Amino acid sequence: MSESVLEVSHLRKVYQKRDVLKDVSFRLEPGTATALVGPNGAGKTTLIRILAGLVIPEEGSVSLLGSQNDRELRLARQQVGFIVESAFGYDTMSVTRNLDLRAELYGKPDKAWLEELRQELRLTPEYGVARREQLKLLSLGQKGRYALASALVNKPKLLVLDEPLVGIDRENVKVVSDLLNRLCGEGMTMLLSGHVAEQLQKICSHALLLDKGVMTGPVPMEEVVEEEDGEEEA
Amino acid sequence: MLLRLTRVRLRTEWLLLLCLAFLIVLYIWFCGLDMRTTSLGTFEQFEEKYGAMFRDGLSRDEAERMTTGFALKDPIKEGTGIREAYEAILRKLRGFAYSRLLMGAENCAFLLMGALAVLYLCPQFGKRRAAQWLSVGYGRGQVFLSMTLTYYACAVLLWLISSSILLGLYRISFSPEERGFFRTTQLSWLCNVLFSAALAYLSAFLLRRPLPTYLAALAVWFLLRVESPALSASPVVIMGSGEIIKSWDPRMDAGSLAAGNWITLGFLAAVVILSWLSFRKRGLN
Repeated sequence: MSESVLEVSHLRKVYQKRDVLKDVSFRLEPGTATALVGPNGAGKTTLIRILAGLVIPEEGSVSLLGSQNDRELRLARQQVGFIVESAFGYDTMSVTRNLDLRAELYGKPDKAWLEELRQELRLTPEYGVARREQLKLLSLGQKGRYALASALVNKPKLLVLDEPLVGIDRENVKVVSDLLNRLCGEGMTMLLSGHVAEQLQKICSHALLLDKGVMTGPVPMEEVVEEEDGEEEA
Repeated sequence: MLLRLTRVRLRTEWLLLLCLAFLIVLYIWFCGLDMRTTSLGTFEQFEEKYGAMFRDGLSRDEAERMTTGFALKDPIKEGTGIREAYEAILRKLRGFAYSRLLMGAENCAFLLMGALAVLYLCPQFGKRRAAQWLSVGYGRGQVFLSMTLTYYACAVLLWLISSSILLGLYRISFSPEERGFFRTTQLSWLCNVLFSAALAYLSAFLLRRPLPTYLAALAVWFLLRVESPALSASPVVIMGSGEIIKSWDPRMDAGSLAAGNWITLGFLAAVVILSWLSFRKRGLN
């Protein structure tokens, strides 16, 4: 069996004496796209914040790209792209400058790749994003596309995205989905969170279900979407 | 990696620093306008007012009254000439005005540093940067060290720019001895800026309640320092409260000044250590 890209074991997180995550365990295999689906308050963002190293769990462990200890885990994060809650950026600087700075944090920026990202994700003047336009002036959808670009600057092996499609219109959802599908086909592994499975169906083949801190799955996306449709009709 | 983080951060904040330094210089300049005129007036006006006292030679009583009246540290002696007395009093008043000026600048720097800390380190602002760096793979120690270093580097830079301009502007007006005194004050001012930076850092980063805690801590510190000579030696002065300025207070001596500065530095170190312990344990909870 190939080494998993992400392995989470018996994760537990408590906020104000309440279990936000209870004994969460799962694995991601290379080259797969998995949805993390659950209602608001299920613990999705908390789980992603733990993976990103922002929050420390009470119990459990995380292994990224085969890491065996904290130091290797931290180094492994340099090969992971995260979107957590909102775009990481300096509001008074432009998209280009923000991406440059973000890439600098990883070391030597790949200018050609950054330009390709800007073109692919329509962060260009032709699509309403002027070269010097400040990040704070972008629309919600444009910020969402910028967030994805910032998570991809280091060409990560694993992409972990929290609500990546929020605020993005139908046409641009296709743009984002096409890009992510292409990258997944090239070997990138993905974990995408959301509370509506249908949105993530274009990208993900399976889903992990999280509700009140308890995880089940993986479950084929078709089943999750059918269940969602059934609940809506009811 | 640490230098890269720090460099990235300073590159994004240079404009803010420049604006703050400009504001400080503006404030100092307006304070300086007040300094140009003193209650003493010109020598001719002084001679017209006090000339009669010096005509037959200054008596001991008159010399003591003059010394007390102008709160001179070096007393005017019996028989001192009018020109010599005028220059001694003028030096003192200029020094006092200059001290007020410096303390005005301290106030300004103190308040601006507080504003910088509240803006910079409160959860909605500074911690977003920390989240970015943590998710990129930098360790908590590196991130904390970078945030702390750049924050205090900003404080030192503000102090350096403002105090250098100030000394440069008034270089011609003061004798080398007076400039020596102000250099000592300048160092004391550095401790004040660092102290206020630590206070705001504590409020914003460690306690996670930036503005209210900062103001509360400021009020407590202000009340404490009025009572204690050692605490008074590292003054944190509310803008405009000239009476509370202790530069000419008989209680003040070299020992108190030294103790005050050590208290400041000790407080600063304690804040950094406590903040690190909190960050290491809680992350960005």
